[in-house]
Amino acid sequence: MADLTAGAGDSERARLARVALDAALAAPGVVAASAGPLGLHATLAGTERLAGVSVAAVDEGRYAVDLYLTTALVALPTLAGDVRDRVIRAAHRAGLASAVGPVNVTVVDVELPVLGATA
Amino acid sequence: MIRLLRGIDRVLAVALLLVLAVLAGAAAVFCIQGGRATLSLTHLSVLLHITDLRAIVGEFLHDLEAPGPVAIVAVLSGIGAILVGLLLLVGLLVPRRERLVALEHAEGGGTIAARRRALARAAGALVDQVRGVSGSRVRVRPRRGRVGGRLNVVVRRAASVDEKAIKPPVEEALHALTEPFKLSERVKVRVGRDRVQ
Repeated sequence: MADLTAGAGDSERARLARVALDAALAAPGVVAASAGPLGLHATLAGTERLAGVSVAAVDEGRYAVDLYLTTALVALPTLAGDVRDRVIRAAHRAGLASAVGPVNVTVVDVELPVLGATA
Repeated sequence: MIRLLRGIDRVLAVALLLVLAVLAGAAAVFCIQGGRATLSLTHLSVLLHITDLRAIVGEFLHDLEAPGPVAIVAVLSGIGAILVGLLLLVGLLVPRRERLVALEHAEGGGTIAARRRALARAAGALVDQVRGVSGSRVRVRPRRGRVGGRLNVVVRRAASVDEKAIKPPVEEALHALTEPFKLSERVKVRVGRDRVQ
């Protein structure tokens, strides 16, 4: 569950980025978030840099959320849809329902299982 | 490497534009008068020592026509200049933004997309699990402006495996990726080295 008290002094945009990132990373099958080779896919929340999420205003106080994720070798459409649903639910729980706009999920890499690894 | 080439492209472009602007300005100013007047093109050619320059360049070109080591230097310099030009073209023409494979455009906004490399790795992992496959190479081509794309898969099979027996299971294995994402696949089978079991 997203920590609603974290970054209490953040702007709405930063709060939404934090909530979205936490929700995405909690989804089964998501390994990590990635800021990309140039480090552009990130949001500054106070002094903290949230890599793998960028939030941009679209209209009427709403923000588009872009997530850049490394995933396990799972069904990508199901995973991406699950991530999107989690982000929207987490935003609602955090009181940011009116702020969340389109949620875009980009799978930047797939982590392959290590051969010979035991469970 | 591409970023470096783009940076060089930008610096060169600005420098060339400045030189062009100065030359054009000078030519415009020295067109005000005609004949051998101060602001004439004839006077400009004298200021730029164009006749002397013609003699120097002519002598240089004459030397280049000579056989032996000079000709070799000239050829290598020409090839070098062509290569530099090609590299600059690469910096100019290579797309800046990576093309993603769009997987879904949701009604209320929001898209799901994947990097080509991610899809290629996933497809390669699926294909490599098929019996008789000793290796694979996957290239992903996104559709421009639309959802989906195409997987070009080259599968290497063990020599002991029949080619006709391997293609259907490979295509079946790829369905987990191609059907949901509206990707088409093209599979080619080649003989490769046996995988160590």
